[in-house]
Amino acid sequence: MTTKRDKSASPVGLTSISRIAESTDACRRCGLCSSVCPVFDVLGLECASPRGKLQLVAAAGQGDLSCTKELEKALCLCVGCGACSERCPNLVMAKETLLAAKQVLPGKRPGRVFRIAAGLMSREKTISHAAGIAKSLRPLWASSLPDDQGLVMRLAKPGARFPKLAETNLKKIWPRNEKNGKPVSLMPRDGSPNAIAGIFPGCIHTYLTPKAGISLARVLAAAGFRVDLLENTGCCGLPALSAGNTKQAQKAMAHNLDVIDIEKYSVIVTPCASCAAMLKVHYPALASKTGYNQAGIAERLAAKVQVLSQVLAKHTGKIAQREKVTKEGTETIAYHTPCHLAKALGDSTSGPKVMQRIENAGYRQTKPACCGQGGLFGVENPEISGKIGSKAAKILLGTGASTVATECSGCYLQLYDLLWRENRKAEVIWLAEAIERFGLAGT
Amino acid sequence: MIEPNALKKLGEILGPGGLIKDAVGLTCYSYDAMPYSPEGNQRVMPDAVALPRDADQVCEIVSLANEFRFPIVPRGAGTGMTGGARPTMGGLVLAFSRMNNMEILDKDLTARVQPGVITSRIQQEAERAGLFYPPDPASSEACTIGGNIAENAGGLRAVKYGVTRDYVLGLDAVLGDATRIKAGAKTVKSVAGLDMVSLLAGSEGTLGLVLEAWLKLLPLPESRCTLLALFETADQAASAAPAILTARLDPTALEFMDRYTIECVADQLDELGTNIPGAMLLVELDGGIGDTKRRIRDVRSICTDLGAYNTRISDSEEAREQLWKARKAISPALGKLAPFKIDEDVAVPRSRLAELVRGAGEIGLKNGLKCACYGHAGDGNLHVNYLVPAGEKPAGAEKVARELFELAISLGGTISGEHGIGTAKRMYLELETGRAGLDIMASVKQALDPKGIMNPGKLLPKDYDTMPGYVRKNTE
Ligand SMILES: Cc1cc2nc3c(=O)[nH]c(=O)nc-3n(C[C@H](O)[C@H](O)[C@H](O)COP(=O)(O)OP(=O)(O)OC[C@H]3O[C@@H](n4cnc5c(N)ncnc54)[C@H](O)[C@@H]3O)c2cc1C
Ligand code: SF4
Ligand code: SF4
Repeated sequence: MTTKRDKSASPVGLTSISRIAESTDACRRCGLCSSVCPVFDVLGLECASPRGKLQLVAAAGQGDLSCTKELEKALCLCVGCGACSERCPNLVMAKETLLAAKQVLPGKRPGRVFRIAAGLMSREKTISHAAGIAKSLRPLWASSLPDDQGLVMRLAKPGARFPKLAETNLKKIWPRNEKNGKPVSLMPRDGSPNAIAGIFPGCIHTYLTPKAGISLARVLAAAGFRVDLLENTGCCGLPALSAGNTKQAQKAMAHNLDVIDIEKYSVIVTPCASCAAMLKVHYPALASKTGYNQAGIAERLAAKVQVLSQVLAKHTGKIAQREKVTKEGTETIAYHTPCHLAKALGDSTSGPKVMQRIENAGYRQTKPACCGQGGLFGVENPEISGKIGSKAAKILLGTGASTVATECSGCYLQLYDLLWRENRKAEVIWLAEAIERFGLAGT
Repeated sequence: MIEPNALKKLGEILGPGGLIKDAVGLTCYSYDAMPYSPEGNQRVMPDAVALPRDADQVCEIVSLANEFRFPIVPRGAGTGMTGGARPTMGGLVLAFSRMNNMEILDKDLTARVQPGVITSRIQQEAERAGLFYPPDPASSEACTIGGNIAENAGGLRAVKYGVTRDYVLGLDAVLGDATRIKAGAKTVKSVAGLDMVSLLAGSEGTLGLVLEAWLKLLPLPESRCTLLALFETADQAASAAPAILTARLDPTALEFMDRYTIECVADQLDELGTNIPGAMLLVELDGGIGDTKRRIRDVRSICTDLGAYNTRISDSEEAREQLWKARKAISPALGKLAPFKIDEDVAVPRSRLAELVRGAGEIGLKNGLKCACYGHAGDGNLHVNYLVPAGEKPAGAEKVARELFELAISLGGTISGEHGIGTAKRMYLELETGRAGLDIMASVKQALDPKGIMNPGKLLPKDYDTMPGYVRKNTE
């Protein structure tokens, strides 16, 4: 008897609501998943709980509910954190079922503009452009929200803090061979790498925080890897998938699978846990159901994907601080565990384990709490997202930490705003940046 | 159906967002965790769902229900196993999720709670104050105190600490006829008149609604310790359980699991390795540190003497939590073995547990169904699950359940230790109470809820139904 979760059983990529609804058959309606759902925690409405949403999918599958605006709205009350799937004693893939259901319900849902925006974001050619207009797009996203003035106001409110868009991008600042212009590999100091790592930079390191992408590369090199930038990769496709656009997500997947020379790398590192979840969990499910003709590749790629903390948890060497911090030892730092790492990838220990080794700052450990961003959820449901997130921010800053390290683009953006709201001096940085700033002890 | 006029008034009482009428919203209040009922598991939609914010709103709604004669279906978290929170004929589901304030009165060693408070929150907040709320249903993370009181829920610590009722000092309640009463008191004892708390506790929302409760708390025990004992056969484990009790070792919890149930949660029990035992006991003790250590060793030697081939003592918080989390996952996790189960919670005098386990297995064998048993061995309360293979109709379910109930009663037991009657067991209630028992319950109901609006179709059998003429309007 198999008791471990079988990823290929994920309904993601299925195209009929009755097939998707089959994955709710095993649900015993015990409500245990509801007790860990951050959205249910804030709203308290059964239709916001994973159990409720699964029952809605079941009813839709049986033809008892039609695809109304209310149904789509309810199913989209989900940050995609995966806590429900992780909690279910009966191995019901609740999160994946909701994700799959979104794809097949026709686009009556209020956030339609979103799907288009997310589709754009997923397309390599338009992505840099999209990043350029991301800021101005926010009011446009807002206008696609239900005519609930409160929501729109909140989203468009001037106080919402967003990182300044970088003038440059990661491809431009990555070191290149002077003669042929090709990106060069970063090497460990002793010049003899143990293995080759490829960085899948994702949208965020490519366009928003490219310097952190270089930090990531340097940290990996310091850990003994030869580091390549997978510069032809595009968006992982998760924004499209969670906006209900399977086709676009599939395209993104096909592109990435085509351009990554999987066999060359012993590990493929994403700075972002959400990209990792997409590559590791959803690609195999999507590939197997969408007839992508090289299904085996998705699994091979999945086997190699890791985030930085997972790599470092196994590499025990010391990594020196890059510059001395001014007041040594006075800094305190917390680590925000991305849900996509803890729940989707099932790893809640690597991050804290690595953070224990941070040298020139006091590490304050906290219990993981969802930040409420959940890709598009935060934009579509700013109020709920803010409520979920401010709980997390309070937990993180409640430890006295002034800096919070994380490794997920959604969490990064959300905390960029919310930490600042809680405490003007608090700051979110990438895990790689934290390591360069404070140094990592060897074990 | 609820008349449009009444719906309008409901909307006014509840204010914006307080009344749900759309099909999506209604669907989400049409179920609970009931696995099977001989009356069918079909989704019956409510006409509307009320989400009151305070006791006054609830009282106004009950008055309105009397005036316009529509059913009220109280609902906590919908984790009930017998259909108590499911509409049977439409009506108004009254969900208590928004009434979820609580305070710990540490000087009185009590807590004041609204019905929608989640049980585990009471446990945690009490603990923060150095206090202890003992009742611990396996659903504690999800279920509400209102539901616990209405079902008189038991749970894992009942063997030492008793059931929910034992911790309810007083209640603020509204009866079916819209009278608001204070039952019991805020004091640890009170004998002022009839024990109305006991009448309401376990009444499954058929007599009235709990609006607020005062709970008794205990000092938090100094230490806790858990023993896991693996046996080759179910018989050995079922005999070890009463032996631990009669040795006066005073376990806080004494849980039994057979092979099938262990299999379902084996992935959460690192201790097991690859070998699935025939049965196991999970025993917890609490008290002073030295004392628990001594007693747990005694428990261990009893288990070993009676055939346990492997035992493990855990006293770290983390290890204990993991064990109990696995135990609490069993009920839903059984879904991994079969898509459909007949799930009963009979109880017998503790000395007869082994006979019950054996007999339950034989009934399964006779009817060609796998039988998975686990439960509160310390209470003689066994969860018997007959697993119906995929694709098969549970045709003989009614017969199997009846045989099991007859067995339990013949052993001097009861048809329900803690899950209640609801719709799932009402046709069997007479087996235990006799006609006279049913009649007296019906007269109590008649006295407190003369129009029969409170949770109709539950607890008492069909021939006592109070709102036979009520028909749900078609919302689709
Ligand atoms: C995984 C799992 C494990 C379980 N383990 C146990 C266990 O160990 N022990 C145990 O005893 N039970 C157990 N149960 C059953 C269930 O959790 C309990 O019966 C619990 O008390 C139900 O609480 P609820 O809030 O979900 O109530 P609901 O299911 O919503 O309602 C239960 C009944 O209470 C009534 N009700 C709810 N609130 C009120 C109110 N304020 N006033 C009046 N009536 C009200 C409802 O009408 C209904 O009849 C388990 C269930 C599950 C799914
Ligand atoms: S999905 Fe799992 S945890 Fe959630 S209600 Fe269903 S069985 Fe329980
Ligand atoms: S994925 Fe997270 S937010 Fe979505 S239903 Fe599950 S627990 Fe709730």
